[in-house]
Amino acid sequence: MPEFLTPALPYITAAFLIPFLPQGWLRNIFMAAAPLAGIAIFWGLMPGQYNAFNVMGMQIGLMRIDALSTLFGLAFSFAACIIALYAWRVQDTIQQVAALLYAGAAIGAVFATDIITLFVFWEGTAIASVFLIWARRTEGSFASGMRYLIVQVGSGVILLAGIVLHYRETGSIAFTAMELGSPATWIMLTAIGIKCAFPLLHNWMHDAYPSATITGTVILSVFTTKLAVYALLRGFPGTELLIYVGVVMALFPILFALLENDLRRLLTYSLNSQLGFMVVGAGIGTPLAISGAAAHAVASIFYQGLLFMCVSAVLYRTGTARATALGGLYRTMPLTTLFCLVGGASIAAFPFFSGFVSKSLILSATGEEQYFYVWLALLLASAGAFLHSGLRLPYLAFFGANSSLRPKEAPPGMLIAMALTALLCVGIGLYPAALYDLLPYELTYEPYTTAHIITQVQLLAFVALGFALMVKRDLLAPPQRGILLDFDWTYRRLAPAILRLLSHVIGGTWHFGVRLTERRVANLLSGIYRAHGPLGPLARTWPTGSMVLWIAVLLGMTLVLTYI
Amino acid sequence: MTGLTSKRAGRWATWFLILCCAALTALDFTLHKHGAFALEDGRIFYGWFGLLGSVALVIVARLVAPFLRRNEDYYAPHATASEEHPESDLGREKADA
Repeated sequence: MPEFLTPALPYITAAFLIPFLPQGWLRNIFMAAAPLAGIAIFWGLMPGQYNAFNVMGMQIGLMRIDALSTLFGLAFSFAACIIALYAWRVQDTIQQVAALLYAGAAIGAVFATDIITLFVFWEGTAIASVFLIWARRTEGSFASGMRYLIVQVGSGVILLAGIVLHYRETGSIAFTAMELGSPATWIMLTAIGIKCAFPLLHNWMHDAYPSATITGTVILSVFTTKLAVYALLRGFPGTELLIYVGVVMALFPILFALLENDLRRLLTYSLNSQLGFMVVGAGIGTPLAISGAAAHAVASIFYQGLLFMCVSAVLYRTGTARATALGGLYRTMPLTTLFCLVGGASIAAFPFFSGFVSKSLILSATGEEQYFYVWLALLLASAGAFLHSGLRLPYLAFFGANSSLRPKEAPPGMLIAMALTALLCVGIGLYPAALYDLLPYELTYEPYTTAHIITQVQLLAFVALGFALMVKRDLLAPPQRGILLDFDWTYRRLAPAILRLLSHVIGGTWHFGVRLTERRVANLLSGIYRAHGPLGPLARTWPTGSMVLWIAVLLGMTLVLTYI
Repeated sequence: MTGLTSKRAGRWATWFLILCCAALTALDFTLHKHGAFALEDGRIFYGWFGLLGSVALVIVARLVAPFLRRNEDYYAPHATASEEHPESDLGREKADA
């Protein structure tokens, strides 16, 4: 096997080739075939490390095959293939190349054996994906993309700093489980935390995702954050801090998702909340929790992707994703509505949908380890997920207020992609063994017990009843045009204001000091001038006679003193 | 107004949900639960937790909303919130009447 062979290679090759192909079906087939070629490279290989080589005494490896990398590799590949179908109508070479390189980099990172390779692909995802935002070609998207790029490349640079420290400490660059403690591990966790959208490090996501192109948002929703979840599961399983980080992450975005007017931004908050579940799973670190987090990441790639696809299809046909402008679209977009409901049921963990079989693994793991408050918080986040993504989102877009919009159903490419994703959501729900068999640990978990089904349906039915009653009584926050301030306000408004104030104070002090010094120096100079200037006493001309007189006086005094 | 966006449809949906919840409450009494926590085994725990939880989330969201909401052009022109999506990326088409 050649040393440079990695599942990322077909994507990179295709990205270099497609600009030379004519736009149309040939190019699209290349886009859809690259992920399949990627799967062919790693599928069926025995677990182990392949294609390792030595660089400056360091063991670099492009392919590590084990259950975790295969699972994420498969999910990413299927997602990339489906997205190629979704983006069938896109005729923008920049977006096509960026999508391929982005997906390729994410898959390359998943199979990386060492942290140097991880870093290279990590930065690759950042640089490739920003073009999906810039491809919108507006002033706002350019600014948004710049902020995204700074944060993402920053995450990579921080990771590199951690890697260097880690190498100095341990002499190893192998990407294996690490114990949080040394500065190196803290730095690496921070880098991963930025990409995973940890609380207070999360704003890049809500800023950038809704600013991308129609297909760009869908692609972005799949890779970056799930790659970070993979890195957490691989690098920091069982780190207790992650449990609490995950709880905040699962709960905090719900409030924003319940208020947000831009439906694409609503979904990024929803995605952020779902990532919280996975981070909790990584933090608990038991085989059940790790498997649960991995399973939930895979399920979430598809159901969250499906929801993004539905909203993007609405945006494609109507030109807006603002809830205030939408409503009643089910009449003319019935299939998109149906797929959105499937995505909503999956995120809400309805029995027989994917979220049910994955989320319950994490909840059971919190139960097994007796984290009562964590379990309670995740249950609330679960109810919240149904509320904002399963009920509020379809209600605002497809039912609810009857807007005058009568858009045509989404184009065939989009519908096929949505149908396939919906099938995967239902398929995983109906036949969980297919997913469970791919998980890193063998499970004896049975999601479909009578008690589990009934209690879950009970939770969801009462949430739905609460929603219906709140809608009836106008208690549900009605959508309003506007944005919601988030933590990014601190660096987009507060920090610049503080800097302006500081610059004002420092500038004022400086000017005052300069003025004061100038005055002092001027006084000094004028004093010297007074003494030494042309009219000063020290510059006066003295007659020669007076000098002779004084010398005579001095000599006389010397004579007198000599004789005394 | 007709169809699923009408008030009548809303009323039907609410009544349907009330019926579902009643049925699930009845079913709850037939269950032998072995939850990880004692609270879980309480009668219709998931029901009241879901109802109260969702109402509480909405109330908290509504309470914080006035502090967070700003005009769409708050960050303009360095953000996309107040921009319209560029037409070149859209495929607007109306449904056939």
